[in-house]
Amino acid sequence: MVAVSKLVDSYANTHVSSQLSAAKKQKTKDTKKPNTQNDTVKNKRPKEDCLVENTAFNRFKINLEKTADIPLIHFPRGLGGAPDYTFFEFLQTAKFPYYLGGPILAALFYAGVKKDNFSSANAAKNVAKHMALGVGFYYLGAAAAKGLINYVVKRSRGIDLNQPYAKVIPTSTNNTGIFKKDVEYHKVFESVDFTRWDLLYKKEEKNPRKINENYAQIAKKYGIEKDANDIDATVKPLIRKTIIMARAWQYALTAFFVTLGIGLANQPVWAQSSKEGFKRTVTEGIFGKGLSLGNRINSAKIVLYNYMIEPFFKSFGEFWKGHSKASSIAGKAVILSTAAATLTAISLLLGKTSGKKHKIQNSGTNKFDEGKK
Amino acid sequence: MANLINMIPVYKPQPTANPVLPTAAVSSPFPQIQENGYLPAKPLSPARTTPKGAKPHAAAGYLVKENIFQSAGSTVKSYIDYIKYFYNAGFKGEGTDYSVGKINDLAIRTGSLGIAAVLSSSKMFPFAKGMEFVGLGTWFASMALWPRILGAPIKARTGVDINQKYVDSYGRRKFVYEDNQYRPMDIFRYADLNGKPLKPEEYYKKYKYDYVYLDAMGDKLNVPRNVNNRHEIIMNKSGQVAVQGRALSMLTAGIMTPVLSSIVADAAQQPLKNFIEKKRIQKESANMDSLNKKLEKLLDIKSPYGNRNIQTNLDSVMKELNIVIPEQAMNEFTSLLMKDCELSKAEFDRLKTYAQKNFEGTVFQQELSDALKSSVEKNGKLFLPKDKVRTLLESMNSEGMKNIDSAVRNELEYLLNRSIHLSKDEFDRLQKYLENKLFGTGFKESLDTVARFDLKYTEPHITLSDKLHEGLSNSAFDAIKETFKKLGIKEEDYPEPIKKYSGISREEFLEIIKRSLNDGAKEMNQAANTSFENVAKRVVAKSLYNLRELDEELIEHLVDIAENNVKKFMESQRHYIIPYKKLTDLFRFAEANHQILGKIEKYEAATIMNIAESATANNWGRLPQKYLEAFNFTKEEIAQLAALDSNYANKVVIKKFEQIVQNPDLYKQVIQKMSVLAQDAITKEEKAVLKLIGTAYEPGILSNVKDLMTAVGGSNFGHNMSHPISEFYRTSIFDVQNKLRNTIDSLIRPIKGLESFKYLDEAIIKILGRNEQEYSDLVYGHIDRHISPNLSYHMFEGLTYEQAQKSLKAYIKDIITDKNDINSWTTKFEHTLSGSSRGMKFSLEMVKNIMSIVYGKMREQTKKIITEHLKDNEGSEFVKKIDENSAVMNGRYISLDYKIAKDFRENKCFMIDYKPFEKLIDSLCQEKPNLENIHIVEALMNERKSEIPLEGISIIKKIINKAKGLAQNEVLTLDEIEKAKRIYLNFSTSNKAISEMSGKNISEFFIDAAQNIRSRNKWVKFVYSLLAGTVAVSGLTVALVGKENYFNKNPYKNKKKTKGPAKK
Repeated sequence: MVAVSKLVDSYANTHVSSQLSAAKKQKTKDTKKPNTQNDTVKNKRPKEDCLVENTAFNRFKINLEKTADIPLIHFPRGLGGAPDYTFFEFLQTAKFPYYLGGPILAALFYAGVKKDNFSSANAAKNVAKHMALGVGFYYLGAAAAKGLINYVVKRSRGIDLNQPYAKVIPTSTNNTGIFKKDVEYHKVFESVDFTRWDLLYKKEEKNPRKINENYAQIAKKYGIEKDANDIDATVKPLIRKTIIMARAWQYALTAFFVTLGIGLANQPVWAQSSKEGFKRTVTEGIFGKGLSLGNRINSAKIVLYNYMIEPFFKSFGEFWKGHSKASSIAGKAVILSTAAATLTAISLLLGKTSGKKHKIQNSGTNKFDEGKK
Repeated sequence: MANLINMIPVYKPQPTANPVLPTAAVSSPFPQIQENGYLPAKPLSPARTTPKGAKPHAAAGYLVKENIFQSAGSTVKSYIDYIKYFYNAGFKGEGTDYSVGKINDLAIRTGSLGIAAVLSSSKMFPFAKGMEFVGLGTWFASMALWPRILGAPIKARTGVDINQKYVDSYGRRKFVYEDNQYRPMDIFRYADLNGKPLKPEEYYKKYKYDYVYLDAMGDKLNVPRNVNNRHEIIMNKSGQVAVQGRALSMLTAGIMTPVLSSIVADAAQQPLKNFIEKKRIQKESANMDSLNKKLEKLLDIKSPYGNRNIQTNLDSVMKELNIVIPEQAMNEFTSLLMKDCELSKAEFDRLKTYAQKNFEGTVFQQELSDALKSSVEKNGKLFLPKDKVRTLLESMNSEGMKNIDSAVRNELEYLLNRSIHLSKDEFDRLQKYLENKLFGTGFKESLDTVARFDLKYTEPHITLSDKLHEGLSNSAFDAIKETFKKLGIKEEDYPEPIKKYSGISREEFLEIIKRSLNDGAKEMNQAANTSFENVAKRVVAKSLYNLRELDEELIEHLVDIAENNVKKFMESQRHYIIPYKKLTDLFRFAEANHQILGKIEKYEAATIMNIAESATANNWGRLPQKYLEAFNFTKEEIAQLAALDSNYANKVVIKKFEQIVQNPDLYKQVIQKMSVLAQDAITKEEKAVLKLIGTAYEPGILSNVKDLMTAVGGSNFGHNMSHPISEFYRTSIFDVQNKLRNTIDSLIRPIKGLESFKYLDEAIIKILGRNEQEYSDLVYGHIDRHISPNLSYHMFEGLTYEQAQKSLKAYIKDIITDKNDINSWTTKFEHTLSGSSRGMKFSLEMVKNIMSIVYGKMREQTKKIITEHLKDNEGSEFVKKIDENSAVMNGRYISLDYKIAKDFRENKCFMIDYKPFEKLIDSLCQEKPNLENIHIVEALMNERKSEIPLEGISIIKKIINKAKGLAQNEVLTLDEIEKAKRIYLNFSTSNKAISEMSGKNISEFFIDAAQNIRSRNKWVKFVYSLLAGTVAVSGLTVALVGKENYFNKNPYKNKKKTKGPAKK
């Protein structure tokens, strides 16, 4: 689609084959050698699969693109039974019920409450508020669990689990006309069985050491300090292990985090602050007319602190204490087990994926270099 | 949900939309067609050599064919596998895309269970708790169910089961059509026509060739039999169908999952509610029965009244009733009552000798030496721990200690009692604790009342001891020290007289005591310690004035300070003496009451309490709607009722009532429907109330508790406790009674109201007369210009007969359906009261007439309608209830009669005294007693059981028995009958009387119901429109599934035209 090619252009101009900062430096140094692939990709769709730099902007664009593709491409193709329909597309369509189900359930609940009666309407509003908040916190909790593990893995092992790449769909097999897809966005590490190792090599380089540079960087993060033979082959099993562990814990933590999220959303503190007050602070306090910047900032602070951060932390306290014996036990159990699971996940990820204990065969010099000499 | 797991089959070939079909190896007509009915594929390039040595494993995958139970079983089994997957992945880092992906499924289930548990724990009531899990269950059930529902028509139409699963060679369960790029054709090879996988040998016994299942599918998919590579085409075609079906299920699942789950949960709600309600009531009833048995035993209820031997010993009562005060609560309380006992070294030693000599061989000795051993030294003083002192104080009252020398005993008590001397702060803390602990129970007041009589508890005291002497002397010495320090004079430089000053001598101290206290007093109460303080001040001052050699001004100064010191010292010596035993008993008594009430409250919460999920609340959740249905309100009327304010809603209700009474058949039908509903609901509630308070003949559990606790309180703590306790329970009983009455009245009122509407004309004639003439006689003839000379206005002022009729009718209709608070409708007539310039003399009669419309006896015709519809005696019982209710409600409203009557009597006007029992009793005491009135008398008596004196109750019982012909031997004196007739319910002084609520008024009742129905209708509309919309979209799509479309051209059709290798 048009948007896709534009996006790829934007990334292609800035960056082609690597996301790692070291590689970036390398590239700026190596200016004398023009990047051929870069030229070919410029202003055109990529001809082969390549990495996309993981920036907030790109992520946003990719997500937008992917989201738009669900109703525009995947569903029409799926409902039409396109012969080249992929499992990836099926999974994309699966997001639709995931994000629709919760809100519909909340709406169904709200449809059933007594709204003619003032007091019961008010009570129902509060319940609905908790419910809507719960749905929101559910998605937030799930996102937080993923984000946490991603962060840990990225910081400790230099692996960006969200590293996107553009997958080029060969036109020769693509005969679906207006619903044609030329590029799909995937993540390099999304599959354990089919990890896109190839994309991490710097193919355009001549020197084997340079080709393996990304792997060497990652190996360093794994604690393999020495210059090992076949650094890519050495580190791949470790990466694989990391992906598996990280995914497993992302899912496991999601279970804990969403439970915590719902528990927090269910606390009375959220019912205390009024929606009207919040609305007014936003509309009149931040975006109102004739206010000084200081005032606006102040209102923004109020929105952030009084309506979000403060109740959030208070809800922790309320959840912990509970209003009955059962709820206090449940609150404590959820908070403590979430904390424990998080710590377990992090410590396992850090402890079990390290390459320090691995025996590294070191020839002293790099064989490839040797050959050159 | 599905997170982007095992996606991207990177290295898989992408098939084309128009697959180029491999050409057949043999192009001649095929003899196999006749045999097989289809054209088998031929290998394109048959292997020329047989592989040697290494051989590929045979494919071990197979189709899954399970019924719903087997499928549930394997789901459970697979979750166990998923746990293993998680362990391997999370702790060892081993796994594949498949296994890691399954962890997600596990996590979602676990997370949802967690959420349900958290939400459930935050709910207060069992049904709400249960519903959280029901919601979770229905959610996942509908998530699993919807694709199956969708799959059924697709399978019926195309033969493709989009939910079909298989187990691959690695033993992993997968959907056959999970990945459109991967078509596991092999697994169909040995599947029979039903899709059941067979062993090859079994298969070949049944069929001659492979893929019968696939072939059948192909037939359904309209794939011609004579095309090349038919199986491949079928696989592709089925792939298309599966992709379409699965995409459709994703498109609709987001709506159908919540919709189905909402519908199922809604349907499950009522059965679950009923089940939980039943179980709860069963359990609590059993508890109540066993409690009541114990109460009856303690009350000795089998013995005749007056000869009962009621158990009043607090310990035995608590033991019998299984009341255990938690150790922690008791400790908390006693630790506030006591503190560690402070002893000087000498006192300690003395105790030591006692322990060795006086109590040898007793338990007390052991306890005393224990206490001494565990004493703690602080600031040069020794402290005995309070819990040890508690044991000592308790065992000092035991049998074995009675022979101990009284001097030793006194000394011991004197020393140990220090433990229960509380300072002001400590005392305040105790009070606060009790207030918090007993908040809202009403027992704190009783406790205070009892304690107030113990001055030692409520007033600060001072113990007489040597310490006092020492303290007074020190007051003077300290004054001197302080003064000279300020002047900068050291001790060795003090003037000679000061050096000689010896403070207060023992004689002087005794003098103070002699002058201020009675002989032998050990503790000074407030009065005594004020006088002691005054005398002490004077004595101290005098001793200082004796230092005449000093400067007068200095002496004055010293006296000032010393007196102040005395005051401070005395203040520091003040303490509250805790009546340890009594207070502990009071506390235990209060706790015992509290706990019993707690037990009873549990039963009330399950049955009649105004609290979520009680039987009553459940009833009220659905009854009004059913009533509304019985009345045949239209949709518009319901909307009006729900949205309008009660004034306007009332008009809708009145209109409906009028419509119904005009149609005799409808009238009959509505009355009967309501009677069935009301009868059922009332019986349920009545059972609970009967258990709680019983009748005048057979007291229920709450009445028994009242009697027992009043007796226990009285015997242990005197009248001051028994009175508030009995008052307290009386209120509880009254509340319960009221609750039932409200329910009965709310449910019966629409029935009675409908009847009143029907016979309204008659009643109006009774009030206003038959014609113009009677009307003016009745209304205007009654205006007494003597009493109200300035009368200028009344309800019918200036109205013609017709106008008056109309106005009164509207007025009464309004009363029946809406204004059930008597205040709001009788104010119209209050002007008959003295001093009022407006109103009519006959107002009283008018009120009585109106009352008889609203609360009169039910007519025989109506009774007949009800009795012929309800089963056996249920009908007659129910009709009785209606009359009882009317009588009781009428009784509640006689306050107005009474008020007016009183007023008229004072004005020496015509007036009859209204006594509720008068006529009733008369009717029972006749030669031929009117037996129908018995149940009304009983109802009235039970209603005000707690107010009518016991004697009255027993006389009424006697009268009833006589009327029934039961107690012919008993003599009923005229005097007794008179007494019974004169029993008068004190409505005028009770602040509840006038405003005492009846049940819900009819309008409110219907408004509530309409709102419930409407909100439910809205939900139904929403949920079913979503359902219908989604089903329609699904139906349409299913109809088109597998057809030629934009993406799928018909391959074999093209084939036929261009090449056409296969011909018939």
